[in-house]
Amino acid sequence: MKEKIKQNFKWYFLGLLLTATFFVWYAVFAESDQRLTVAFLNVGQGDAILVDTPNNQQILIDGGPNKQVLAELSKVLPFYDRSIDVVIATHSDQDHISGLLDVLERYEVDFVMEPGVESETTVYKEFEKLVDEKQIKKILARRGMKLRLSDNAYLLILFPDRDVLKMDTNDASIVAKLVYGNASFLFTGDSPKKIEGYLVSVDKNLPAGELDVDVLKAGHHGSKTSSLESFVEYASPKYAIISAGKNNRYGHPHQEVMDILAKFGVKILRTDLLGSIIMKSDGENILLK
Amino acid sequence: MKGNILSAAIFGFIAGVGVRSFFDPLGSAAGFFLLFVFFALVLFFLIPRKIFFPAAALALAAFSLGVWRYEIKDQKSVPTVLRPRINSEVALRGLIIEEPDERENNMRFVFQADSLRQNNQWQGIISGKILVSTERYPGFKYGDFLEIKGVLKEPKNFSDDFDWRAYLAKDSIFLSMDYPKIEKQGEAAGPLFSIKQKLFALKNNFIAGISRVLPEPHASFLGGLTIGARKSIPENLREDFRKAGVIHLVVLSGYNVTIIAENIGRALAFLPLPNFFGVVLSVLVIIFFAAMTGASATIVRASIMAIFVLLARSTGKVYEVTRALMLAGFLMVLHNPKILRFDSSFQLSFAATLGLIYLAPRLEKYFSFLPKSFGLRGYAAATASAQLAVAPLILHSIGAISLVALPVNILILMFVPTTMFFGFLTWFFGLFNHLISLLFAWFAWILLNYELWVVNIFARLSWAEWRAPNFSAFSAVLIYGLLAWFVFKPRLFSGFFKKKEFSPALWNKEADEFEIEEIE
Repeated sequence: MKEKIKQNFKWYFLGLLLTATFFVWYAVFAESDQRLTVAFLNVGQGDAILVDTPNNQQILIDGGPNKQVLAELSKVLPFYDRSIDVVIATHSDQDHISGLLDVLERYEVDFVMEPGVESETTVYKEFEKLVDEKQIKKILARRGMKLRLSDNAYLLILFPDRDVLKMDTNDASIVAKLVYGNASFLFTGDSPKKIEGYLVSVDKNLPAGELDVDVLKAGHHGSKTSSLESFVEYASPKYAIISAGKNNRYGHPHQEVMDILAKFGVKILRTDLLGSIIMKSDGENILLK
Repeated sequence: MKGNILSAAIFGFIAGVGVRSFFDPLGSAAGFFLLFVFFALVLFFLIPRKIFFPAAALALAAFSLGVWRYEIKDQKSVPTVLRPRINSEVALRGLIIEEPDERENNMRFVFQADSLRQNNQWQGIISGKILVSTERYPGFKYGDFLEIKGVLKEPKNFSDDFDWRAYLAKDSIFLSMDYPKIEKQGEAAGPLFSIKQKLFALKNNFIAGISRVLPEPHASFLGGLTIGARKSIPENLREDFRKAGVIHLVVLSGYNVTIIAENIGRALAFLPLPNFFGVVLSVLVIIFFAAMTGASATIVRASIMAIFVLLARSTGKVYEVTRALMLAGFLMVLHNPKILRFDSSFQLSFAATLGLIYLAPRLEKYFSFLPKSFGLRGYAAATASAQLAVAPLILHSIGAISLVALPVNILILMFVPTTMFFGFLTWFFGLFNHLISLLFAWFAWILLNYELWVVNIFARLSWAEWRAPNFSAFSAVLIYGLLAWFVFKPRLFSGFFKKKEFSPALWNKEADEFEIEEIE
């Protein structure tokens, strides 16, 4: 046996080198994408969106209801990558933050952004505990905050614009806009109609409108409690993403919402039908992968 | 002669338990009597004339004992203190006595109460087990001392084709509580608890270690594969595993232990070790595996059977080993007679073990088109025989069977020991250095990726699965009859218990093939 190993040593060595080369090329290939990637992950009934910037920074917006997010993340991130720069918990509901607990356990996270609502649920308490334990920096999201991602890419917070400690969890959802050159995305968490209406009214008073986007993540998994007609019209997206579970018990997305989106000629993409939806942008066009 | 009589007694006892599992004598005394007569007739044909009377008498006596043993077990039900409180809210204190089962969106554990709150004070009670379902967070573990408050219920069957109540009752669980209010009070002490807690801690350390460097679902898959980790893999992937016929790799079952042990044995056969060390090493690996998984009754049973297969192979004394296997089966049924009918894990591991011992050598010749290199032919024969041996049971209990199980198992099982090996290296070096760990993780990742890819490809085939929702118990028994005929056909009717007619099969380690010897 020893003899045999000696004889075959050069082959083993060659095999090792080959694997190493493969590994290096894998890494080079994985890091070389200069485009912006926005992946709406298929996490069942819940939200989880990964943004991978041109500078290879990662932002995860919500984590879905369970650890399925990990499997989906590993499909879009290289296998050795164990860091996510920013985690945004749009609000404290279980279908948005439960999976984030698994993410915080496995990934190195630099800071966490949340609206700062009071919530008594166990999962939220565990989330707060874990953030403390891991000594992750916590930021309360407020309107006007801007995360600079590269020369011409940033993430802008549109809501909440006040202290939301006692607010209903859905109402307090973080609404954020991602901009890369001329391409823009709007993430709305579970934001209900009244907040959408409010945002439109605020935006109308601004010199340069902020709500006009290319891609809209439809609020609250396509529930009729969100996607106000005037809001959809005002945002005038090309694509609307609905992140919902297959045959979910709430009947999401509701037909009313589908009708409104269809009325304004928005192309609807659903995670319950398509699985994870991955979009790439070079700052001009948005490509559906 | 002695052996024959012993076999007759065991056969009688198990038949007694089996018959009683299906028929309640108080329900239909006449039917029960008919079965008794039928059993006597079966004996008449099976037992050689020479020893008919002593053997038949013993078998019939054992039959009654089997019925009686089942009866005793069946008497157990909801503990009397709790009976009047079913469907009302109670506060209890007690321990988690088994490792919790962590699901995708919730968690379940077996709780043993030791006191009940009555008139504002705690009273010690003798309580049965309660199955508690709760949220995934904050998360509880084996040995936690809890105070729970919720509505006590009797478990209900949630579908027609699976008797959930009976399944729980076999482990003496007659009560359940859904999403109670839970407060952790402390942790259990004592040597048994602390040993088990340490083993679970080691297991969790392993899982955490591989999870740090491997992505999902790879890490969960590897955890299930190597140490029977119960942490769930995503539901849709689990479905794919089932369709591809390799669910036994990730679901902790007796069958899983049998298959894995078989493969470890084969992988070790390639090492330049004397046969004896190979066997000892395999046995140690199985014991380690069993301990890690928490040594639940299911796994202990399966491990014992897996060890029998190894012994049968290495000593070549198939006949003795089979008898030992029968004896072990007897002791297991004696310990808990309900497993015979209600524990599919017991049935599957028993069937798979018999398949590996008896069917594999008979099937080997049909795989002569496969090359012997890398033990390919051996894997094929072993896989086919285990699959064939469990197929009727799976069809009856699940109502669907994977048609691609054979190729998928061969394609995957060949790499399982190597995958496990790299998994262990990944974990071990991860204790010291992240980068070295990452290097081994890369190799494990390639293998896991390949295995998941195979599963994915085959599960996508529209014909991967054959559904037979109404596959009757009768058909299953019929198929087992045919299989038995295939194995024992030379002289089936000359006496089941006669030593001469077995053709022991030896696995020739050097040639990696089975040799069939006809002993006349």
